[in-house]
Amino acid sequence: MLKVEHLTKVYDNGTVALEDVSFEVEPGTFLAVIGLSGSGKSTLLRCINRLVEPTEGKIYWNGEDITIANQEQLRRIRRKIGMVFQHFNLVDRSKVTTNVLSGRLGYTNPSLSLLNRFSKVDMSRAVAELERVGLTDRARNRADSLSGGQQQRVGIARAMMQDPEMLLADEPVASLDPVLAHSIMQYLEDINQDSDVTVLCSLHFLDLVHRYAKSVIALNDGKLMFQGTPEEIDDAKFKEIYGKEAERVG
Amino acid sequence: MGRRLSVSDSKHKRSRRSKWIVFGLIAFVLYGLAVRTTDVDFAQVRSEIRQTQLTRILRALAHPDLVAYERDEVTIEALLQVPCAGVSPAGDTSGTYIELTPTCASPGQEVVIHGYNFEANSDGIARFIPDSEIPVTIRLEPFSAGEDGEFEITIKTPDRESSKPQQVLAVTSQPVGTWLNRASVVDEDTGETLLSPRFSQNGIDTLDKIIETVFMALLATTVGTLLALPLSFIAARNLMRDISMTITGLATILISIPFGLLGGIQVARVINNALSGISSNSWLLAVLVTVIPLAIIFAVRAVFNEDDTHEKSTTERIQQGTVAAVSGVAGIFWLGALAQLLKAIGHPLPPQAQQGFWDFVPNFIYVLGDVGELTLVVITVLVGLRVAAKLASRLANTLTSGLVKGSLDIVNLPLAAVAGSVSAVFVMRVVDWFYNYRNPVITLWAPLAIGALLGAFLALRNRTLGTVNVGLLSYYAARTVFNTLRSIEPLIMVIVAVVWVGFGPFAGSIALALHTTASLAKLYSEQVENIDQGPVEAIRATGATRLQTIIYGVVPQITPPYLSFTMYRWDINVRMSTIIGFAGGGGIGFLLSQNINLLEYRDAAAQMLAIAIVVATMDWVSARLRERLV
Repeated sequence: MLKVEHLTKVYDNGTVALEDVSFEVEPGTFLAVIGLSGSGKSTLLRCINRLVEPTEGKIYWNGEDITIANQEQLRRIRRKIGMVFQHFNLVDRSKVTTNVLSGRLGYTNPSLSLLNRFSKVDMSRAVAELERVGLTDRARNRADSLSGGQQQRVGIARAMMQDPEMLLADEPVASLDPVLAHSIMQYLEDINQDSDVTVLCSLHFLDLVHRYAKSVIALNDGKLMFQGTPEEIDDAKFKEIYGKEAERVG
Repeated sequence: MGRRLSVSDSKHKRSRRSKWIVFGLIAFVLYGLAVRTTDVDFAQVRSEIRQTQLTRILRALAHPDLVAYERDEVTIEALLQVPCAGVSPAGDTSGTYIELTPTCASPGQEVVIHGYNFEANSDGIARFIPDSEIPVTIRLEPFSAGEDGEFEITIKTPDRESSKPQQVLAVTSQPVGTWLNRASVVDEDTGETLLSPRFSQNGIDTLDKIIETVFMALLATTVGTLLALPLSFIAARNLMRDISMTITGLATILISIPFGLLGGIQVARVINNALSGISSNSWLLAVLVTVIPLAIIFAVRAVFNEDDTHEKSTTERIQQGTVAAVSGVAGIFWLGALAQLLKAIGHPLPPQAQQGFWDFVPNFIYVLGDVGELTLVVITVLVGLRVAAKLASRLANTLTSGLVKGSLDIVNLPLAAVAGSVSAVFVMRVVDWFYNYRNPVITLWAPLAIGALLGAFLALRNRTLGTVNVGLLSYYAARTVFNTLRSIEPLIMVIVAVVWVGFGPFAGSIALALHTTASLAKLYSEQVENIDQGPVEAIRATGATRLQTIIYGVVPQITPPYLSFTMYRWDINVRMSTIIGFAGGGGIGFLLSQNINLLEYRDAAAQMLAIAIVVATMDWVSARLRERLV
């Protein structure tokens, strides 16, 4: 259970990215976060695992307040929250396996990491995760030798290494073509349904939202405009979220 | 509308023109002053004396003194008929030869001797061998051949008439042997056999010193790189800007610094004392060196898990803490034992005492041991600081946990005051070391009071924030130190180093290493700042600690630029170490400056040539390597 209360984020330069956002997410939900570019979707997702420090407000997850967690607690919280990024954010020069294994860092003794080592269990887990995304044969390649879709699959494998209870996906398909977008979204759907992982996914295209999300929140200029099911987004709501001049496409 | 536009347009044009006039005036003044203060004087350039001098030095530089020849006296002969009697003798015109015009003359008549194919710029003398029972020679005229190996002198025919042609000799000395066919000559004074041609003493010295120079650069680059690697992270803004601390935490850590420092030094002393008791017993040392790591690995394996998935129990915490502490001390002890062992195996070699080629091995082992001993102190102090800080922050956590904002101020205020005092006294102790005040008011009481006030003031001012951005503070501190160090030329640093460790390449290496550390730390840190933040963010999101984030997210990205900069720096260091000898820092610069001061330009030219070759080679090699690596 994720509960966001009165979340506000003001960046150092004065930009108000989020303003008094409150919502709840039931465990196992596939929640889409929609809104225009710059509406605060990324900031919202990053506040949840505190890659961005919230200015005000509370985020409760399984009863624990994430916003006041110390380093040690934050490590334990973060490792249960996987994250997938628009630009994949793989370490280009590292091998695919290393990228996948790095999802395990939250569980690895830091001094062991000094020696660049992972346990045998983690190694076999990485093999399994790569198999799940169908990239077993690319394991030894450098991450930047992969295509965009493949890189995102590595990103998903990395997140799944964390054995997450929740997955934050920050526009995971925005840099991919429509065919690849569906394949990536299907991976996320599988993760949501088979592994019972809560997924928070920011999306641009409404058809993807209708196709995959069970529930939607919409942001406009940092404010929460809508919360409900995809079916509830009618033309009026749409104009409210995306502005009066917006046209529906797709 | 169009009219208004044209008015503003012409106004714009006019203002632009006046801007150019101002620029022109400023440039005129600047360059005028520059010419005046740098004493630009083209009369000197045109002066004939200066030009001859320039020609001389350029010619000297074009003839680097690298090769020495033994010389042999050579006699070239031609025949002269005195007086003329029908047939004139013909001369040989191959190789080095002289030609007489005319080939017969009456006594007192002038004869021109023309020499061909002599060694350029060589001197000699012309002689006349009369046809007589007693061997006599008559000295005619000295000659010196020009650049083209030719000379022409006019002599007066001696008053020695004969029916036979008589000999005219050109006696000069010529180098013996060629590189393909070297001659060996026995030195008459020392009885030594010398090869000719051979490398001149200057050539040998040059080779010796240029090797020294390259090794200086190698050492300085290595040491500088090793030091700059960890420091560069402190000077990288993107890594440091998020590190902040509560006032309580910062205050307790500041208070802990002197304790950590003194504690670390004390532990290092104890360990060194313990080791000096057994330093003569190499066998015991060898046993310690092998057993300690095994014991540490065994103990760590026993109590630490590979992953840290579950919450630790109290007994586990105590066990792990004990093992970590004991193996930490044991690890330092191991380093000390290793250092002592190395010093026992090797033995130092005084400079210039090298006899066999392999003599450097025991010396190197000994020096490595010495380095180990120094590192031991540094590591112990760092560990001491870390442990003290860790204990302090733990204390701060217990102090502040459960305190509300108001009562937090009550704790913070005195803590910050004490922290201010401690740091101020600490700083003044350092200042006192330089200035030797011998006055407790300056070194103790005043900083105590001022520090306390300052600490309390800062705590009050930052009350609303509650945290201090320590990361940015250390970033600025590190940047300032690096920039200051970088701006001091190694040529100046070497002066201090020379006073410290004496003339020679060691002083030069120290100066270069220091400069390399500062500039590499800066260059490296800029590379860290330029990395793609995305992967770092992703690694952070997995719950990785700061250290893990650096190892998995930052290091793979910075490896190629780091390698490239290191190589570039080696290149620079080779260049710098060629001149560092001017200030007494050893290497080829020492030789070069000596020869320039003695006006031995041909010798100096050899050194310049060597520098040019080495620098060009380094340039090429490093460019090639960088290409391959990046």
